[in-house]
Amino acid sequence: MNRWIAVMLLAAGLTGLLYYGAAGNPWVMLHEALARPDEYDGRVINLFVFPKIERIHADGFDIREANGHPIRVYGDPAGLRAGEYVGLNAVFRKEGYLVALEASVSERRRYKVFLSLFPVAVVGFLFMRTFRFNFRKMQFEARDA
Amino acid sequence: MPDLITHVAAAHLIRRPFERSGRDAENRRYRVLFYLGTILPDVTSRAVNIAFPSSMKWTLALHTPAGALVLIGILALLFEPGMRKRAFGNLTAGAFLHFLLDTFQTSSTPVFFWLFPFSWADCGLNWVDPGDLIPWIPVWLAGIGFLELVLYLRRRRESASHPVEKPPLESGSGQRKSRPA
Repeated sequence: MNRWIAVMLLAAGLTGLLYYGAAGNPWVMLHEALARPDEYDGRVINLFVFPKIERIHADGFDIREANGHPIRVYGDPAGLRAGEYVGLNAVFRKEGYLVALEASVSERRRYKVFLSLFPVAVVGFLFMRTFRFNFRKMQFEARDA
Repeated sequence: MPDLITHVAAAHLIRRPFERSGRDAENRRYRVLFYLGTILPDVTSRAVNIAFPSSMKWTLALHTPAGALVLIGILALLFEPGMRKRAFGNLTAGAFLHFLLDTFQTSSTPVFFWLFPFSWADCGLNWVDPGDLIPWIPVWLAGIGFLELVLYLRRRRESASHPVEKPPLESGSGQRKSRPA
């Protein structure tokens, strides 16, 4: 089979998988619930976008997602700290707040992301040192071949 | 996900002892692809999510075995014909090592859809908090250093027991012979 036909078929398959992953998954995200509160009242939300604790209250805490959605969460704030990422499962209420089922600080998350940059840089460097892209043939070739 | 240092260190520690000696260039080439495979699921999903936070649902498929296999199929076709099968094999092995390690970690978010697209079951075992692995990074790096030392000493011992024989010097060596026209 022609290489480019194979690439196009695989790319079409991957597009289908990406679309099914986005449209067919059963998880509710916060921005979806906030956009249609009546529809999502009482639904559990556990797919948050890197939620960070903004403020701690006696009866809960405020979070803000990386894409900017802030919301009040009611629940036990014991062990939580402002400024930390939080792992959260919560029930959405149409009045515009969440009731936490499970909340815990994602320990060392910021270090994890920072440290993960190094292997990406190292592997990228090793790849570029080992292979070169031949634009005429549109393929990677080993530099030492 | 465990941090990517843990992923790449695991890839190195698992692969290096099984590389065949005497094929340095080949080993180096496919080792890089194995490493690339082991970071690929996070680079194509988590890194994209950090850069574009609203993309989370769109990248779910890229952090699954099915999505990674299709993506790796495309990547392997971008290599020269003689390398494609081994590129596919090494990238796939690296990616599946990534998924294997991810399976053991805890997550409040469902992210381990190993049966996708046939099921949305979360296959995570919730055994290890990825944050708890960070203090172990120096241990992984020391392990890599120790392994490389052992491999270096083994190579030296092998080359000492099987020295490469040099051709005997001809009389009048040092003078360049002129090539016949």
